[in-house]
Amino acid sequence: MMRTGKRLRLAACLAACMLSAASLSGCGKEEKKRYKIMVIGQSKEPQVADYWKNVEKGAKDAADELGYEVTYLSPQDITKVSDQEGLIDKAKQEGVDAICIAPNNPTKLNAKLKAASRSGIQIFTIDSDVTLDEKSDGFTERRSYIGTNNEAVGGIAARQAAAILAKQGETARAVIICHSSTQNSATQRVNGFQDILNTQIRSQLSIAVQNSEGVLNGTIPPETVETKINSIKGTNYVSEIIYTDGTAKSAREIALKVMNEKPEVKVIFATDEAATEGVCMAVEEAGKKGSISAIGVHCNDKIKKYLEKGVLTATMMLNPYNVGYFAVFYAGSYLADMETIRDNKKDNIMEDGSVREPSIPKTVDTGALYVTSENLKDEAVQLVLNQIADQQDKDKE
Amino acid sequence: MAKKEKKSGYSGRAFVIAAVALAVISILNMIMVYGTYRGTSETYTRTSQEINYINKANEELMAANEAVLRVVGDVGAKNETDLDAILANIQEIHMRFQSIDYNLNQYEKLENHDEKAFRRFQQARIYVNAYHNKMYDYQGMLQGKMAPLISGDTSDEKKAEALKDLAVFKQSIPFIYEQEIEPLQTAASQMMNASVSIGSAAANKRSAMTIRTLYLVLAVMFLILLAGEITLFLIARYTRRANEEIDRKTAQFAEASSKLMRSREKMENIAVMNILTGMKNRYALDQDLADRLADEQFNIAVFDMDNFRSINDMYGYEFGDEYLAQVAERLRNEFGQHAELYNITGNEFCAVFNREVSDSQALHYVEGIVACMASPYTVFNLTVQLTVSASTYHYVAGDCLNVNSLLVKMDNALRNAKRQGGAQIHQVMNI
Repeated sequence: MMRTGKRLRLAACLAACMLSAASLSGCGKEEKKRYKIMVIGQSKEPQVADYWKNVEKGAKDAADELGYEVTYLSPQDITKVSDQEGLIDKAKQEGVDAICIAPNNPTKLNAKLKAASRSGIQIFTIDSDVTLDEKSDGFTERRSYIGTNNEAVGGIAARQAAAILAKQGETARAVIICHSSTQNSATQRVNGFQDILNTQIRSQLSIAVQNSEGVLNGTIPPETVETKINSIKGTNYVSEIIYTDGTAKSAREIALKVMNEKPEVKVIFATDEAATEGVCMAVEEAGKKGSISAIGVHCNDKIKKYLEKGVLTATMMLNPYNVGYFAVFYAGSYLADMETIRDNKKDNIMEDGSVREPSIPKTVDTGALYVTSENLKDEAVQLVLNQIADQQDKDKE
Repeated sequence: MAKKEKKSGYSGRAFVIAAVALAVISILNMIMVYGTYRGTSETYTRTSQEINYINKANEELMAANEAVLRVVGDVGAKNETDLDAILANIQEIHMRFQSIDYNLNQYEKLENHDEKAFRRFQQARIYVNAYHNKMYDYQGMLQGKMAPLISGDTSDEKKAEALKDLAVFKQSIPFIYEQEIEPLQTAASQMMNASVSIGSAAANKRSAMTIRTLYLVLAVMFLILLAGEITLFLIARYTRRANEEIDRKTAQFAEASSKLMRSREKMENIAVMNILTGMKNRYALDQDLADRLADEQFNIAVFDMDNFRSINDMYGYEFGDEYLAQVAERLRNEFGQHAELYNITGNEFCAVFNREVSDSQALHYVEGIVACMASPYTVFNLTVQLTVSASTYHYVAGDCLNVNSLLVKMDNALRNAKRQGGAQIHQVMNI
């Protein structure tokens, strides 16, 4: 009897241990911690809605794949700094671990962002960056900027525009039709375009002058060549930067006027989705297809059709999906690295005795593709286009 | 006893069933543990292969990118472009991409990819290809511009023009790299990293789930085992109680049986004994002598107290009975070792002398018995004394056919003694 009793107690103990182990196994083997990340977009306005829907889709895909909790919010009014400030407060109240924000102003949100950062929230910027310079009220605690390198958007377009313009002779010019005079992204696209276009054309035209028959056979005196090259170097090949009110309609009217009044303009660079649509409408209406090279930014169904028809020479296709995806990806990586450092400080002491900072790049360029009717079928272009199309299909449903 | 065996058989079967159940549970456990081990092991092997292929592809991508940067540096930074170095780096880029393709193809060939990880991998691959294509475009452009410089047939003028053309291209190269190539490389590389993270997390989740399920099943099996142990415990307890009950019943039965034996013995004693005097009775005499009559000789005597009826009549039967009891007690004490004594009727006693008692000794004892019986007795504080008549018989083998005829002979002799006034000893004469 004693043996039976002992066996019974032993079995009971073992069963209890196994049950505890079974229940604990659910806790101990917890999957990756679900960081709370808030993504604050920029606009719900129809002309840019597709862009931000793709940012949201990318962010939510990353959350789903990597096991984070992501909330996507947009301000009611993109022009009001207070709307985004309200969303930053909301993020603080909800106790998020990180905010990925597309600031609608490079400096005015910095006070709020600093306060959020002081409360332990990690701040990342997407699409547009804030000013980092401390002297000009910058926000130095911004962990990383994930978005399009807008100067590159302008630059890539400019390299292609330069090749087009160079063929049209020294008098050919480009015009920029820009969607905003205040937004960082707009300014950077303009600057990038203007700088690279001038650099490229000036070099090409200078070499063309140097290689011209007159110079080679000595009929043109060196002084004249130098004067000519100096003239080229002093010329701004962007004849004008004209700002729209943000709508396609406004861009259309401006483009029509430019084409009517400025015959030397051979290239029009439109800096956003709405401006691109407006310029395309104008080129088609004016019958300037083939004689005016329109280069736009972003792509949607309408823009894709203009590309296929040859009305639009090319568009800089941005990758809003990757902006959202990598924002959450890098925010999660940063938070995970922070935890690693916090849990194991000894192994993360640098040579100078300081504790290592979480390692992610300060800037992540999500890239832009120069898309023409010829490379429209490329898989990389199709990948981005399909993401946009998927989103549009979902919206229709 | 039969019932006890049946109970033992019942509990024995229960233990056999319990042992079989234990064996089945153990085998199931082994199968499940082995299955889990295999499943988890396969998951880890596949995941480590996935990680290995993607990491290798990513390393090759980094190496290719370094070679690209060297080309950018060589083309962009030097006044006199080192064409051989550029061509060597271009060759290296080509080889790196072959290795990237190999590793990505190997990854694709693996089975049972996690859906999300594979989707991310496919996107990463598109960016790898885009990066490669973009590289290839600019590489072609670069090689086109370098061709006149490499060719031996090119005139000096053309070479000078080509150099200037290359110089313009030089200015663009860092921008092209930074703006068009690097973002594709970053997207490709980070999406591969994401794919590895997703795949590893999914594998960990799968393994954790498998192990959780195993723990749960083991727990359930232990509960079944526990239930089995409890059942065994209850059966054992029931069996013990049943055995105790059987033991108790057996003891009761044994006791009853013993009582019965004693009663039977008593009954048997009662049949051959005179209850009043405690001496053997006439029935016993019959039994004792029947077998001896044919071939033995012995001395036998019968004694009767003269006028004993008068005692009963005068003092009552109770008095008489006590008188006879005292007589019998005294006879047993004084002559019990020499003869077997019987109380064959109320006041009639019989002595069958032992074999070692001679004929003369027997006669002497007869006289002693008569004297003993005829001596005074104090019964209920009253002294009484009666004379005694006796008949003796030296029996010779074959004298009588049965005990009855023997007693008839002896009674006749006794009657003669009484007829002649009693207090006499008559001998049965052998004919």
